[in-house]
Amino acid sequence: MADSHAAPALGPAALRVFDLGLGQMLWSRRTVFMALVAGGPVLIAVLLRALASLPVFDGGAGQIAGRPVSLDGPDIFGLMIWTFYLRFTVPVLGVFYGTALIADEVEDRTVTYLFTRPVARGAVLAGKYLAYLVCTAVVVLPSVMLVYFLVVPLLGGDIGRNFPALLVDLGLIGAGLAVYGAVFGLVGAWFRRPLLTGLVFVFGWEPLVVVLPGYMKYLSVAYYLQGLAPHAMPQGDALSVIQALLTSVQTPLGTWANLLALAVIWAAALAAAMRVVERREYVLGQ
Amino acid sequence: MDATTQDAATGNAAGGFAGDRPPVARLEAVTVSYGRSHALQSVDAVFPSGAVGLLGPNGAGKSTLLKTLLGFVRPDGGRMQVLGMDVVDRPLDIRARLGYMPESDAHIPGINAVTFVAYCGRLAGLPAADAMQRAHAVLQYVGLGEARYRAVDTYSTGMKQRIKLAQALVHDPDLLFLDEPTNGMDPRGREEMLALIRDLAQRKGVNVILSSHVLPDVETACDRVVVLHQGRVVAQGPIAELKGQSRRAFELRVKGDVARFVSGLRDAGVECHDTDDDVMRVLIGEDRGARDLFALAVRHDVQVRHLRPSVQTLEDVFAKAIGES
Amino acid sequence: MPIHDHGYARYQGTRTPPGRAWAVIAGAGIRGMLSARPFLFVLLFAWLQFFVRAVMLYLAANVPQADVIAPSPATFREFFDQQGFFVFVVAVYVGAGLLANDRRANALQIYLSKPLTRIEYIAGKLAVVMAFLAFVTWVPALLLLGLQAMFTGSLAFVREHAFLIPAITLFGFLQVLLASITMLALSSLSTSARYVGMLYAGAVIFSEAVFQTLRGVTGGTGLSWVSFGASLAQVGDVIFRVEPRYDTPWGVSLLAVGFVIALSAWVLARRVRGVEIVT
Repeated sequence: MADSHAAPALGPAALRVFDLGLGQMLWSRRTVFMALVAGGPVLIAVLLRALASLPVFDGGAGQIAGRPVSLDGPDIFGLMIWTFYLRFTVPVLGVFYGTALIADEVEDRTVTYLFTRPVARGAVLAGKYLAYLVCTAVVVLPSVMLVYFLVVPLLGGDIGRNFPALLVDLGLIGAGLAVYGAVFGLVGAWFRRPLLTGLVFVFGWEPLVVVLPGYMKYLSVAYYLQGLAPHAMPQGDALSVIQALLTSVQTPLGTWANLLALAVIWAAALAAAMRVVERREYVLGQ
Repeated sequence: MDATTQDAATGNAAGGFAGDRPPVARLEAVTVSYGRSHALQSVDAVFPSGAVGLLGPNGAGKSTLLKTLLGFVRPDGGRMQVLGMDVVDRPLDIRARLGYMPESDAHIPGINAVTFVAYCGRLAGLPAADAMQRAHAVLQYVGLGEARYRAVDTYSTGMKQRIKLAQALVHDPDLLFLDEPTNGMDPRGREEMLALIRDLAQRKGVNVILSSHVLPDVETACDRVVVLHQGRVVAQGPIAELKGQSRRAFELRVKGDVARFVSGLRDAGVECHDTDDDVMRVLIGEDRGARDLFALAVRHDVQVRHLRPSVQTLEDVFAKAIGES
Repeated sequence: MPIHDHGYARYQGTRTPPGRAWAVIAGAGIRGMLSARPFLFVLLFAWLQFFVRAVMLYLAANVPQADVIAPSPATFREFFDQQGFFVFVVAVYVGAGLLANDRRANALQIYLSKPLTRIEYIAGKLAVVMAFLAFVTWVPALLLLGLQAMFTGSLAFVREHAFLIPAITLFGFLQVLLASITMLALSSLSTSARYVGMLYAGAVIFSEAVFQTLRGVTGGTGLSWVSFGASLAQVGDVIFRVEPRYDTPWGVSLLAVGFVIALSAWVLARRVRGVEIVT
């Protein structure tokens, strides 16, 4: 006969925490932030559609206010995937939620309630991470699809023909959320100022190292993610130009190599985060 | 307006440091609204010098009144003076001479107790060295001498109450606003806090307005009281006078149809309150006595099993004021 | 023994008149930040560019072959541009918790029960962020100008580009004020410093993403005013008398910057109160 008081194993325990954490995440005020982050691109897409209905926008001739536009709908969608999702939404949500997995509980002094339950501490992190992943995916992926259906038909784009690229984008964004979430889950469990560390990594370290020659770029997540993107990189700022230049002279990694690298980073970061949570003593009120 | 209310309104205070000194705070027809909800409705009140209790059930408007006097809330109408100065015209001069202990947990995060209290002293205009010296002295006075180098974030509820008092005292105010100062304190801590408040008001010359819903606290620490209910002042004056207001109190226990008897008492103009056990408290006019109670018992066919003269408490005053309002 | 037996003495000393509490708040905030060792490393890191540029100035002044790195007004403009990342980091590090932590600990009631106004409180907090941001932008930029004169042993460059001192000061002030007041306004909206930091990062990066998308779609930069960073950069180019980088008229960019500052000031005026009124 099974002992009804026995502590649940890691998997079931993580699922219990996931169950609790998902509801918490979906109905917290942070969801407002997530809705803004994921809703912003949709709003821009709606504005572009509205612009398309104005007389200044001549879709047939590919002109806006008489100025020729070199992009079509799929190109604009690709541009938005880069500027909004790969460079903004995915890392920002990864930093925000990933660093909060444990830090939030410490800040709110509720970590005691979690850690005094008969579940492994690692399961607490794993469960909350799973909740983060489901929560962000449920909000972000529909946002990508909405943008796709709003933007791709502009300037003669074909929804059906570009659909495979959309599937790749969805997978790419899902992978980005998973890997960034795991990396920043580790940062949140480890550092006292996880948010700043995360922001410096995403907006300081990554943009810099991906344009540096040599092996430094392998110490980032963005490099592997960008290698999987089916769209051309936009040429907005100086760093993008340098990166495009280097990509053309250096042999990029293949798809499988990028996927393997992301999987290794994901597994290593998540395992390390669980280990840190198991061992670290969290001091409340400081 | 009854005799005691009138007495308080003219500022003719008695007891403690009241003497003939002018009132420390005065409100005339003050109304405060939060949206459609009226927190204070045409409040006229006078707080003489000494220790004055601001009494009322939760939601009566006590905290709003204090925050209005502090200038945190702008009233919809009426006039207010604190320490003889108009609240609207001279808020900074008032706050320089005033200490406020808020009801909720409040501190400057990330620093230890002595740094926090010294910082509050500096904000109130004390030079750095004086602020630090007074921070040590005040922390000692409120019983936190041993814990003064600990981060305030790590304090217990009782300690947080004490440090809130310390920050309110550090610049040596002439008037202290204490909002529920014994909340969350254990019995001993509560006694010590009340002893401190008495000491400040009676021996150190610091005027105190103590807002509380706990009647014994107000009765222990204050000489006078202003009773608020649903945003209105329903009674004010010296506690001793309010308690002795031309009524006599009795403890009474009867056997028989108690409900009919109580109804009969009320019909006869006798005030009647339940207590925790089966003994009721009855309050009758000064011109009547125990004989009248026996007569009423006979008339309603109940046996008197226990009848003892009692003293009218602040609770009786409070219950009467609330009931009448 | 009753605790009040330890005694309480009335204060007989002097008091400073109201109006100087902002300096007390600023001083305490600055000291608090400087006592955090990781923050000192951030500051040190933020000065790296200064040291690199100082070496370049030395070489340009003393090595004839290093003509290519000779300073110009654009050098100082670029310096501010490249300090932008540290402005972001320092603003988040210093500013995110300034009001949020006070709101979390209900400290506003304590502050505003003292003889100080809401404006003094905001000014004190603003001074903390501005001081550190000025320390990583305006101070090193002016020092670089001074070093240029010292390394060459001549005031010719400074005289020739006399507008650089007011330009550095004006742009430095604008950059520091925009970052500080925006961060403080966001900090007044929440009780979590981490949430505030994220909001700030989100606002800055999102506005830039919108600009980059519109730039890609329209093929022009006339809509740069939608981005905080781009608007400030455009105004900066005009202040430093270099070719403006975007098609947007600089007046529009200045208006966009002014709008953000005014909006932040309005948010602060609404949010910094002794009581939180929920109707």
